[in-house]
Amino acid sequence: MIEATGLSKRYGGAVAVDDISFSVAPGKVTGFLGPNGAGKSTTCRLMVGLDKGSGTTRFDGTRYVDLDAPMRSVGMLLEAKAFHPTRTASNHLKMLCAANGLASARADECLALVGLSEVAKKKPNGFSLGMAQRLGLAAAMLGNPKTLILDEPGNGLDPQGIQWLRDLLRFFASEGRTVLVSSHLLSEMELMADHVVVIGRGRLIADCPTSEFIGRGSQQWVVVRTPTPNPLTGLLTQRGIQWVIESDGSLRVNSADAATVGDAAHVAGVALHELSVHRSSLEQAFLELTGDANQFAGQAATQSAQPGFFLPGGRS
Amino acid sequence: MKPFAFEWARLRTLRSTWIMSVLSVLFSVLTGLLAIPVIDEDPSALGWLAVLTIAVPTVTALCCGLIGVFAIGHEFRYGTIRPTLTALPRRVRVMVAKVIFPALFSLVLSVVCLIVTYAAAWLFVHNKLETPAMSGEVIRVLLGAALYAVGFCVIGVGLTALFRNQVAGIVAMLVVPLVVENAVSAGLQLIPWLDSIQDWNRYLPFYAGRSMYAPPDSVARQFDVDSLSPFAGGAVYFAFGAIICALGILRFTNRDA
Repeated sequence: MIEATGLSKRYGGAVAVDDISFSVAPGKVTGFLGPNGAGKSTTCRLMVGLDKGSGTTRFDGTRYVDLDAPMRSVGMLLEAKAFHPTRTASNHLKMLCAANGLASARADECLALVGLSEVAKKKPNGFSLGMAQRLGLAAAMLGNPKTLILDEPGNGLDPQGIQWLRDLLRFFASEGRTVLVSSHLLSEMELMADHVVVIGRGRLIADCPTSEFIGRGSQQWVVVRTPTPNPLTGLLTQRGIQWVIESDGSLRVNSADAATVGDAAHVAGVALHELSVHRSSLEQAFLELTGDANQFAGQAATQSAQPGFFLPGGRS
Repeated sequence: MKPFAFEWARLRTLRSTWIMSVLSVLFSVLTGLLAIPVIDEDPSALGWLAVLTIAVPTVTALCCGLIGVFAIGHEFRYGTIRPTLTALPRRVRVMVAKVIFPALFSLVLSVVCLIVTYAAAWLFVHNKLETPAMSGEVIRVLLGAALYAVGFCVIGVGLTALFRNQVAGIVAMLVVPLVVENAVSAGLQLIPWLDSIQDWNRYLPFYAGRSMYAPPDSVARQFDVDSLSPFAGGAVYFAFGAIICALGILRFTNRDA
């Protein structure tokens, strides 16, 4: 169980994290979401005392700094390439084992767990980002901790790696452990996270189950495909149900459920080729709810695409 | 003890530690061999000491200084400070281990280098010379040379923790004894209105530290009447190291990792 209370951090006059409080329950994967610069990494660092700020975080009731062998309680992955380039992967982990009184055999076990046994004796200066992430994950797993905090663990992983990570974290949570994962891969978080903590511009935006967050973002809609839409659209209008014809010819019904639309189609006597319910994805909900909190938004391509902008050499 | 176990694992799994060590030992062998004519000419204990105190307070001290700089400099340069502090969140203990363990390693390395220098020279001259007697003064000089190298290591850790940058740590470690102290010393000698504090240069930390291994009754020492005694010089030198380390630890504990 993680309980973060009143976390705050300023860089000069800029507020990076503004009085954030949340808790992360065991037995589920909690996603930690927010746009670039929202303060996710700073919050993670504040939680374990790497950054100096205010507020308290307790891990099963104990502050991180008071844990005798913290890696046995909390596994952390904050940066992928935080290793000395000429110290072998195995020695890197053995060094961390020594810091927490763990058997050095644990290093090889964790390298095997993340699929890096073959490069255990290699210097990591040639590691790809994905391999570096795996090494960081191995380091986080060394103490067989009750809690995992992972900052963007999916960066650089290939699709198989992402799936492996998802299964690993879900298994980890199923054992009653606590998992907090920050990620930009929202489609992946939708599959992985049971609960989300969302921040923007250093402030808490949401702390709720993933399904509730998605529900907040937008309503459901029903998509209908029929070779003869007119009788159905006429009936829907008559009943005060809003609809719109999409560019692909399908009918999108916004203010009715599938049963109502199906019944209307039956009454109108039209054949249906598709009747499906859609709801906004985590990504759509995220974009809607954090739109104002995006500090570093780029220009839309249509705005920046002046003549010659995308040509070699730019505008000339 | 965990920070010490960590520091030992860090130190021994680092290529640069062994490069520095091998370099020191090789230079000690070279010094021993090149100094054979000196011992031939002056086979007394003084002649031996002149040879034995070439390598350790120079190349070995520099290597020990670099080992000290890397103890904390690598953490900043490669971003390993975060895994280190998540494994060992009590920062003062981490820094104390980072001062003490490389210092102990430097002491062992310096003693090894003294033995290697002696052995290298002895191999070629032992047929015609007697082994120098290990008097109290001889032991003091040898120990002083080794401690001077240890001090370099401690100051290297402290300066790098203070600057939070490996390159700045290396530059400061070289510039303070070679440039700053010489400039201050020259200023004290040359500027007329500083006459009254002319002898303060003996309190310059590295200058003071060198008196720890000054040979007894040496010509230089006869004229250099203002030098501190070996004990007082060592005290000034290590007090400087302790102050730099304390400032470094203070900065390390109060800044973001």
